[in-house]
Amino acid sequence: MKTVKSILIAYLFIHFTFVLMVNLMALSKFSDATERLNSFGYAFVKCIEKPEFINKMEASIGLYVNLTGVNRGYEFFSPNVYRGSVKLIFESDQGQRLDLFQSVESKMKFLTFSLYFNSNLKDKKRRDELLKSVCLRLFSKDEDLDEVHVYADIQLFDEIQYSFKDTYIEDKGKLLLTKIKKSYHETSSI
Amino acid sequence: MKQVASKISDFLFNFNVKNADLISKLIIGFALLNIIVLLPDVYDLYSLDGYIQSELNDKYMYAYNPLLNWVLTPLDNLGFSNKMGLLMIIGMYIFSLFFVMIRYKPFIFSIVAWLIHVMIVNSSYYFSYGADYFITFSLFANVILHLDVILKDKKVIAALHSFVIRFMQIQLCFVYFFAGFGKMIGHDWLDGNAMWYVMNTHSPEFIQNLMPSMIDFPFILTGICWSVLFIELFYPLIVYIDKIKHAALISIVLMHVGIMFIMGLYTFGMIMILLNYIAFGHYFESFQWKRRKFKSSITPAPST
Repeated sequence: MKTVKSILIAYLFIHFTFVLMVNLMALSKFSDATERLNSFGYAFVKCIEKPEFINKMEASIGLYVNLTGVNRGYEFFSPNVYRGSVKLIFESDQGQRLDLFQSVESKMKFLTFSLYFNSNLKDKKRRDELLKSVCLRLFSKDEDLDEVHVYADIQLFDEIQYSFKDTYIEDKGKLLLTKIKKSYHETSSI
Repeated sequence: MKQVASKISDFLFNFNVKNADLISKLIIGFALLNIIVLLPDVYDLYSLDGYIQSELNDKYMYAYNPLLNWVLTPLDNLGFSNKMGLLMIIGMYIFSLFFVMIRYKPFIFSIVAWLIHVMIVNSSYYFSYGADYFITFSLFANVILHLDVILKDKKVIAALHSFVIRFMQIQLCFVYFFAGFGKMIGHDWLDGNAMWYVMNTHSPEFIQNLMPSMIDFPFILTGICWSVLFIELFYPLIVYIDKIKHAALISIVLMHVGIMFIMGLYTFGMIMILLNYIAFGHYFESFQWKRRKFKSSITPAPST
């Protein structure tokens, strides 16, 4: 009994050390955008910026934290929230809206994809890779589909302190991101 | 020093878990529900040639991260198509969950279910979010819980069950503390803009229609933001303080109900409520007991 308890206590300590490290690593990534932090946050992130020993440990704890599902930090919607919405829209060349998923949960997952996509919106290479992959699947699902147009429907919001009822939403409208043709999976990015 | 060690041991191993089987069934039931909901889109989400092709997904994975590819490629070599292979894996996942549910070789099948779920999540990196990772964690905790089938000593089994609940409690404390801390170091959660942006972006249309009127009452949004910040940051403390622990738990559940209906994050909200119930649901057993005791104390004694 004593041995079992000792093993479990040691395990508990190791597990939560790893959880702590994962979260510190996640927080240290905010150092890329310090203008988004308040003065306390700035000082804190500077303190934990690039902790070499944690970076080195990342690879060694990677498998464990992945298997236990604690590999992503818990900084949900932190430190700030994006001040707008970017909805990805897929349309055929006839202008018909293409729904990617059927179930509510899959649509939620698509939102996760969209958030990831938005954060890489300026990385044209990655952006096109992702869109091309989605379109390839759309082509294989619908043989009559020849071309897919991908739009980003962008809305930005003013800060509440500076908002006026009729003008707080800045509607940028549908921005054409790319047109992908079926024949050669050609991409003409905008 | 000895006293501290004894208190820690007491905390970790002497918690009386009456419903280990129910806990396992709740976790398994939720995982089952989750995969059933996803079934119509399972091929688009997880197959090698789904919306995000495996080469693109696997680019951001370490070589040691278990992937569906590890099973699908050998199956392909055996002549099973990608689609058939995926159906076999998903079928195996559902059957494993079912076997754990009916307690048929629960330890083995809880491991199988957990590993398949890890592969599924890793193979859909771009589509996976908090809910998926918390399901992985729950399935992992479920594996530890089912270590009881290979243990014989009842005292050790009781200590193990106690450990699992405390393990989940501490995990939740880390989750909420870091969720609160991350919010505390920015601007938007302190000045109320976080809720403003979130509600304008994610909420259902009838709430979005109400948003312009919020401009006249910004303190409401600031109040919600500060409440979220307070509950999350101090969760590790308030959930253990006798006088306020019930209120703390109700607040966190309400917060998740809000996340479900305002942001549409149903699976995430439900798994977090479930984890809170598993970890701290016993608070309300004693609450019911006290209420019964209170009722019986005010019931007049029958006249003789």
